[in-house]
Amino acid sequence: MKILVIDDEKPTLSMFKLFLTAYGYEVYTAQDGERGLVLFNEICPEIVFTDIRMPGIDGLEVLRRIRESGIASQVIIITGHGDMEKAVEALDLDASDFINKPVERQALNSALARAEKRKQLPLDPGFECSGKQQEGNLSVFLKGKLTASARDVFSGKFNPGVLNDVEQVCLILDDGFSIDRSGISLLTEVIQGLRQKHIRVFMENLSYNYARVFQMAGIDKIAVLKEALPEE
Amino acid sequence: MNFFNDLTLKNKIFISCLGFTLVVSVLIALFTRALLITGLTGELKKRGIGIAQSIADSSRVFILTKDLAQLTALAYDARLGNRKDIVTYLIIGDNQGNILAHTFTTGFPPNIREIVKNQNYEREEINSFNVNHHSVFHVAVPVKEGIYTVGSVQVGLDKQHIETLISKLRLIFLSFLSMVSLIFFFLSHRLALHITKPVSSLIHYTDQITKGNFNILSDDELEKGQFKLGAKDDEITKLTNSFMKMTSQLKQSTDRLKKSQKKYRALFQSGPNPIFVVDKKTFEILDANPNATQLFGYSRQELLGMSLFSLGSLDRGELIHKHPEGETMVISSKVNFYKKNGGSVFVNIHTSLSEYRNEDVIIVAATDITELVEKDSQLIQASKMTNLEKMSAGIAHEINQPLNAIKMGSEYLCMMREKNRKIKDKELGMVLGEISTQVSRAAEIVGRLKTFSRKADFSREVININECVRSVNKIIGRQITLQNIDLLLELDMSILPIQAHNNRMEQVIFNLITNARDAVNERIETVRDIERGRIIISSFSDQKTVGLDISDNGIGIESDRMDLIFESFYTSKEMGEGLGLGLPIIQGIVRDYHGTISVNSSPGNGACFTIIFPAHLKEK
Repeated sequence: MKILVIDDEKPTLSMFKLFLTAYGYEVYTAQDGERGLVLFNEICPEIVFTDIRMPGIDGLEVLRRIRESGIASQVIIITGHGDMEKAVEALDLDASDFINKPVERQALNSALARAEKRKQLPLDPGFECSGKQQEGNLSVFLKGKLTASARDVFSGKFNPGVLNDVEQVCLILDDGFSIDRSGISLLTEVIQGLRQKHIRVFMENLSYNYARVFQMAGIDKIAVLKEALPEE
Repeated sequence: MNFFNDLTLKNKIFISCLGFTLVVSVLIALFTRALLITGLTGELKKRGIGIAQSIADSSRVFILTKDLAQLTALAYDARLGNRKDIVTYLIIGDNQGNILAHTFTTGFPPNIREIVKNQNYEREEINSFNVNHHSVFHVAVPVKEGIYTVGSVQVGLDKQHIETLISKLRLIFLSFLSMVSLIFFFLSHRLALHITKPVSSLIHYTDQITKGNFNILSDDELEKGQFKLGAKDDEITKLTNSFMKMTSQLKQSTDRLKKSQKKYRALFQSGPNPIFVVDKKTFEILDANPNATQLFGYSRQELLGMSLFSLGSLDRGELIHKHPEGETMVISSKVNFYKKNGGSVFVNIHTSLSEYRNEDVIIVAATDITELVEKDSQLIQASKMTNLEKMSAGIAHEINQPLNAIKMGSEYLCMMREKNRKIKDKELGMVLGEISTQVSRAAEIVGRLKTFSRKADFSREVININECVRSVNKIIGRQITLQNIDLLLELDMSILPIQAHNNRMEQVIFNLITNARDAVNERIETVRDIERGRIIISSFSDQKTVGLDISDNGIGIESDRMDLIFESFYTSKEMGEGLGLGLPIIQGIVRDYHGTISVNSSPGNGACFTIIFPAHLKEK
C-alpha cells in the first residue's frame, strides 16, 4: 500500500519513512505542499499524511485539493498541540483522521487502522444509527458520518417517550464513524439534553484521536469517554 | 617724586602749601635784597660824588695856590660829622698825579698811590678795591678851573656802612618771613586737616562697610542722609551725601541679597531632589543637600571632597563638554548611581553653571527616577511577555518539530524491540543521530526563548545590531516563513557596534517584525491582494551612526495616523488584540539608547521603520 507523507520537517519525514516502512508500506515523502500534490497525482497513494502548517500550500489546502482531485485517499492531518480549530476544520473537509505532533505510536497505529477501515467503506457513507434497550441501559450504535443533516435521524433516537425508563445511554461508535463541526455540536446538544434528564452518557469505541477532539469540544465533561483498545 | 606719592593726602597738601610759601618768600627776599643793595650803593656813590664835588669846589683855590695846610684842613673837614661813617679817606691831588693832601694817618697805602698816579683826571670815575682790609669805592672827581683840570678830589667810600644796613634789613626780613611761614604752616595744616579729615572718616566707614558692618551708622543717620563731617554744602558734604546714599542702597541690596540667599539656601536644603555643588575643574563635591545625603546614604561630611564620578557611572566627557552658559540642561538620563550600601539608584542629571564661594561650580541635580525606571522595565517586560504569548502557538510548533522527530525515533526503536525485530545498523545510527541533533535543536530554541524573555539588567553592553537581528530571526523567522512571508536579511557586515541591551534590542526588532507581519497579513486579508508578503531587514552605518530599516509590503499607514502610532494606547488592531503599547515602548527603548525611530509609509505601499543609534566609538 502506498503512503505519501508531506511535511516541511526533514527529520519528521525520515522518521515517518522508517516507521511506515517497518509497517510494510510503500512510503513516499515530500517536503512541501506543491511537491506533495505533484507526487500525489503521480502515484495516487491510498493514504496521505500531511502536516497542517507548512510554508506555501498548507495541510488544509493540500486536503482541499486532494478532495477536488476526486482521487479517493484517506488523508490524515498531522497537527500540533493547540491546533484543534484547524483539526476541526480538517474534519469538515472530510479528513479521515488527524494525529498530534509529537506523533505517538498508538495514535499512528490507530490512525492507520481507521484509514484502512474507512478505505473499505463507500466514499460518502450516510449516517445510520440503531438503538437497543436493555433494562435501564440504552445502547445506540453510530455509523457513517455524523453531520447536521443527520439531526432528525440522530435525535429521533432520544424521543422523550423512549427515555422513560432509561438510566444511562451508551453511544457506541462504529470503526468507520466520522464527524464534522456541525456533527460535534449536534452530539453536544443531544448529550446535554440527556444530562438534563439525569441520564448518564457513555461513549464507547472512540478512536484515539476522536477522544482528543471530544475532549477539546468539552464532551468529556458531560459524558464518559471510553477509547477503543489499540490494535497491535 | 616717589616719596611724595607715598605721602598721605594730608601731608601732600601740607607740604605743597608750605613749600610754595617758602619758595615765594625766598624769592621776594632775594629780589628785595638785590633792589636794596643796588639802590643803597648808588645812593652811597652819589653822596660820595657830592662830598667830593663840594670838596673840589672848596679846594680849587687852594690847589691853585698850593696851600697844603688849607687843603689838609678841607680834607679832614670832609670826614667831619656823620660823613665819617661814609668817607674812609679823602685825597686831594694836582693835575700831575701828585698828592697834595690826604686823611691817612697811619701811612699811605701803596695801591692807592698807584691808582692816583694812573688815573684819568678829566672825568669822574668810580672803582672798587680794598684799602687796609676795607672794601671801598674809590670816587675820583676832577677839580676844574674853566676848562682846565687843576686837580682831583678822591674819596674812599666805606662799603661796610651799606653792609651794616643790609644786614639789619636782612634780619628784619628773615623774622618777617619766619612769621609768615609759621602762619602758613598752621594754615596749611588746618587746610589739609579740613580736607582730609572727612575723607579719612569716609575711608574708615568704607572699610567697615567692606567688612559687612552696616551698623556703624545708625538708621536715623542713614535716613537723614547726612552726618556732620564738613561744612554745609561744600564738595565734601556732597561727597558724603552721595556716599550715604550709596551706603543705604548698598545696605538695601545686601539685605535683598541675604534674603535671596536665604531663599535659595532653603530651596537647596528642602528641595525634593538631591543637589550637589561640584567643582567645575575637579568635579569634587563641595556641598550636598540633605536629600542627597538621605538618598545616597552618605553623611554630608563623607560626601564633601568625594568626586562626583565615584557616585555613579557618569560620563565625564558629557559633563565637561555639554554645559552651555547660564542654562540648565539634562546631561544624561537614567544614570546608574550607587548608594553607600552598594544599592543602585537611577537618576536624571540636570546641570547648570554657577558660582559658589568665588569658585566656578556646576550645580548638579540628580532626580531619583529609580521607581520610574523599574516601572519602565516592568512595562517593557510585560510588553515582551505579551509578544511571546502571541507567538506562543508558533513557538510551541517550533519546539514540537524536534520533539516529534525524537518521539517518533524512540517509538520506532521501542516498537522494533518489542516485536523482536532486528534493526539495521544504518537505521539505528540514523535514528540515534537524529535524536541527538533534535535534542540540541530543541535546547537551542528553549535557550533562545529564555534569553529573550529574561528581564534585561541595567548595565549596557556593546552589541552588534546584526546579532540581534539574527537572534530574532532564529526565534520567529520560521513562523514568519510559515505564514508565507519572506523574511530577508540584508545585513551590512561592517557596521559599528552600539551601546545598548542585547535583550531589549531584540525586543525592538521582534516587535517591528511582528508589526510588519501583521501589516502584511492585514493587506492579504482585507485587500485580497495575492502579492507575496515580504519583510526586509537591512542594517547600515556611517562613521557615527548605526541604523536598521525594517520594511514590509504590508497595508501601510494612513498619513493622518502617522503621528498617532507612537502614542500610547493607540491601536489599529481590534479590541483585545493589542493594548497599543508596542510602538511607544519601542520608542522608549530606542530613546534610552539615544536613538531615533521614524517611519515612512503610505497606504498600500507598505511601511519602512528606521531606527538609528549613535555608534559606540572606541575610546581612545
